[in-house]
Amino acid sequence: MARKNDKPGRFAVTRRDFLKSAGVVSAVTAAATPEVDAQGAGAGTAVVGPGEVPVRLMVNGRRLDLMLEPRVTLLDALRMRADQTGNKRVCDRGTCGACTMIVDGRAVYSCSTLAIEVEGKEIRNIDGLANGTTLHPVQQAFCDKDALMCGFCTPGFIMASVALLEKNPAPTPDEIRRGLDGNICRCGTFPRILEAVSSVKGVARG
Amino acid sequence: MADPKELADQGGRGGPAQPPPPPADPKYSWPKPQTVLGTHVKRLDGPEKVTGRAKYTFDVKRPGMLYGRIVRSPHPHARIVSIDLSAAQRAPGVKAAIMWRDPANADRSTVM
Repeated sequence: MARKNDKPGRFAVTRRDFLKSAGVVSAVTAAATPEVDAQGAGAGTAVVGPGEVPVRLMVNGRRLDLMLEPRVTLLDALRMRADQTGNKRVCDRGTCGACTMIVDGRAVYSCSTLAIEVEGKEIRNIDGLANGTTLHPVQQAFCDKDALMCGFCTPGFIMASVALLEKNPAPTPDEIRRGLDGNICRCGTFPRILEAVSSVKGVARG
Repeated sequence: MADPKELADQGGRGGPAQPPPPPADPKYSWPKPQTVLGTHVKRLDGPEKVTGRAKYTFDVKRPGMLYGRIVRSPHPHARIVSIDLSAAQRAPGVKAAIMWRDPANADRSTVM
């Protein structure tokens, strides 16, 4: 991924940062929990849940009003409550990349992102990528180069590829490998995916 | 171990694709134009899969559909002496909690 184009701070956790910090975060969470409980709502901390709360998401340019428990992930919110089953839940722990969506221009693992975290942010998933029956150039390239077999990882690979190409419209093979290294394909279509992403021309900068 | 050069010569991984030699008997020569062999075949399920419209079993939602969860022992090496389902059955929204055999009555159990 073209790190030089990244804008730190726009979204707190990228997929790469998530993987780097996952172990640290869980340790910190465990240590900090008693303190949060002790403070409670009385200390001015905004506490939501555990019941359902209204969540307003902006998905593929359309507003989506949902009632969700705060623990619901972005992936489950869209799959279970909005019938947008394009992105798949495979590992559910931020390692396989099948759930990859684009939030404010950055590829994120939607299985490891809470829906309430991304309120007010621009969310894009595979269900909204094609324009009617016209495929996005990346989707077309995956078809043309036969870069899929079972297709379960494909939505995540395509979203990660789109995020990469919008930052870096002409990536080198090494940049493509780095940009897509958060995704896994069990069918082993990696060479064709590399070929497909290399062949894409004319993706506008995001 | 296979010789990498030999693999490449056979058009193996990474090697150049070798066109098949023309048959000796012209009766069996390749038709022109080729209609099946050597032609590019479009993937029929490609557009469905790249748009996320393809429905996998995991994506199917039916009216009144229930969700199941298998609970296994959290211990890598242990003897299951008893299973208490009452807490699971009391949980909100739970329709049924079942086990395939009761460890206390192992002899009378049927295997599912």
